Amino acid sequence: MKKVNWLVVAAGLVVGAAAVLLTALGNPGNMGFCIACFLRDTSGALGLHSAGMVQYIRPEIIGIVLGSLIAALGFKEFKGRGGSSPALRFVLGMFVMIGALMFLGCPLRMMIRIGGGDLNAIVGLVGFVAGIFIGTLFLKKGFTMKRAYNLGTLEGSVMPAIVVALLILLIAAPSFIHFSTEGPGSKHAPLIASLVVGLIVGGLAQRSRLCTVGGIRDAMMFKDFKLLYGFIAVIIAVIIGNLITGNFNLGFEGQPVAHTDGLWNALGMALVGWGSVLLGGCPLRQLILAGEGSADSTITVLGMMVGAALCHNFGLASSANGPTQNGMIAVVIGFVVVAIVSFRNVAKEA
Amino acid sequence: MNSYIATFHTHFSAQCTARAMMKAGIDAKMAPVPRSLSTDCGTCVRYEAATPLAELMHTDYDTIYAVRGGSYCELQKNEE
Repeated sequence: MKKVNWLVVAAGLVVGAAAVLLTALGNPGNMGFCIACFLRDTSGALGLHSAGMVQYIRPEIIGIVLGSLIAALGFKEFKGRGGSSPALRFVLGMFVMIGALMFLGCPLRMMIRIGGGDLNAIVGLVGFVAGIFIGTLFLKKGFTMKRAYNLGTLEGSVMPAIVVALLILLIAAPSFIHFSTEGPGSKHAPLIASLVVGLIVGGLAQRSRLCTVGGIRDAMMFKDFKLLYGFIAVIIAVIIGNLITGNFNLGFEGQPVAHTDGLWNALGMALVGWGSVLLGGCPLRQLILAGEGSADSTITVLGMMVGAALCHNFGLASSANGPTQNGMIAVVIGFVVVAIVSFRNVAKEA
Repeated sequence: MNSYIATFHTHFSAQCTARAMMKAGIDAKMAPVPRSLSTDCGTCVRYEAATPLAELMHTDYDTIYAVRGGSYCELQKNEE
């Protein structure tokens, strides 16, 4: 058996380099790519929340889904499938987003923040690994979301259709679509660059099965490190890129779009890790699967978008000033919900 | 003795199958699914046996492959 899958490593290096490039082209600091932040911005652009500083239809999201779709079609892997606990996936998607916006980033942004020298993200990584470990304990006990079934091409085409509609809205820019004029939502690379980079990353991630959660889960459960090497490659590429562009800033304080509350950084990412193991993949992987026809991942992504809207409507999202009390309560509720789902879905016959 | 890989629709069904095989004294272990055989759950069972042992599969198995060199030859698919 091969010990290293070089396609995964190459995908990781490209994702890391792409993140540095997009930041240089205008995306917020240490946010070349962040699936949670970009879904949150897209929710805001659609008016699902009214936080004026984080509203923009992110072309990277569109590109990732379409890149995955194109790769899946090209290699005859597109399959419309679903029916694996859809309502629970929606709820888990919501709480994964709540955990991510407590930390201020998805696992991919956590890696990009580490690559930028943000030590708060190392604390987040500790929580993330702990959350994945808890999730794997339930997998070993027999946790299951039940199987998916073939549902046909139309069902599998929903997320690609949604992102095509988003692209039309982004280009047409009708008055009901919101565009931030200040804050992180106003900082973005040119549309074409973001879209093309998203397409490349989506295609590569589909071919390599790159997954930030899968890498750690497989290492823990099977001592298989192939996906983990992709995880490490992202960090290495970002460190090198940031050293070249002069954006490497080692420390806890003054990091872009980040706070220094270690406990809640760790707890937020623990919720993301645990929830993502139950879902079978990180937020990036959910976008990739949605692009290749998974209705279950489409539901999860929609859950994450609603979760992002709730985060800003209910004051759950952290800011550079730190977490909010409402956010802390929501993360605790998230742990309770994820624990209930974990215990209740352990199959008896295991 | 031949090498086989079985893929599954859920991690749980892979786990049940691996346990059933080990109980029957078969050399079986769970592993990530090879990329070229990628399926829903991402977990497969690799095992060494004289026959494909379809009778030991959990109901949610997907496909049984024979491992020949570096390639996989589909032997039996579980129809939905």
